[in-house]
Amino acid sequence: MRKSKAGLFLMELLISLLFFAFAGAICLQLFVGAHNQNTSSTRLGMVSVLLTSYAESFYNLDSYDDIDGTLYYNEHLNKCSDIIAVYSVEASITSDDYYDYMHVIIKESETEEVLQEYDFKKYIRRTIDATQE
Amino acid sequence: MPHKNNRVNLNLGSSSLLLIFVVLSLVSFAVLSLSTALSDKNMTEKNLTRNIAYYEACSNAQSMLKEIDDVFFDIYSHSSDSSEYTDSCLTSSFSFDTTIISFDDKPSALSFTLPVGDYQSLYVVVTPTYASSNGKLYSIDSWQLITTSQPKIDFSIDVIK
Repeated sequence: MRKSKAGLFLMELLISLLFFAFAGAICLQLFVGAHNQNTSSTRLGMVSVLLTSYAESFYNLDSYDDIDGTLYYNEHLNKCSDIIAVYSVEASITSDDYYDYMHVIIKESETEEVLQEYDFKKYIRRTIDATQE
Repeated sequence: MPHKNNRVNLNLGSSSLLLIFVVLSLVSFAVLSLSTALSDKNMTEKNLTRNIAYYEACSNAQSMLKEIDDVFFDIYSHSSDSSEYTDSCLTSSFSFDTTIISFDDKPSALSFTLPVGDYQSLYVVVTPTYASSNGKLYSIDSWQLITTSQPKIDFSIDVIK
């Protein structure tokens, strides 16, 4: 009498499926971890670009009208309204007799989480009126 | 008419082989994507840290410019002509290290450096200007990052010996 292998095959299939489910769950965690790291990396990159942009504007421009106050940016770092913003940047500029100071706070717009905070300082160079000397 | 056998021939072990192949592929891609994401994040963090170090040096350089401006203004108040002003400016002392730069064997500018990270420095060159058209006591002729030492790049690969 010939013995059927169907039962054995079914058993193997079930064990395979169980193992696949287990391995799949672990791999899914790895993929999700990679996605989270990637999101975090993108965010850090944007923070770096925003910080550099504000710093260069501060050090190279005579007027700070374009950067003073709170500005909102979308995911492509274009200026936008606060409703659709991904990042917000608060720049407060103060001065004393010798220096201009800029305090920058970069936040994630939705959660208000502070991503980066930094203080900049720029010396106001003395100007001599040579005609009066 | 011969009888046609429609039964699929299911070999024992074929599903296990397929499973091994699929799981290996899946694990490989998952590990590769995670390692790429981690190294990307590491790189971005380093970039941000380096940017912050650069602007820290820029802020410190502003304090040095103030000191230079104060000293140059004092010299300017007591100088009668350009050469006296320039000579006095270049020989004056500061609270930080400066180097005199010569063009055509004639001392004409001051330079100072500030460290930016382990391998780079911010290099600033300041030239005293007497009665310049913009009324400034000096011009900034260089504001650049220079490499001070070669970074030790780790080319080793972790292998089990």
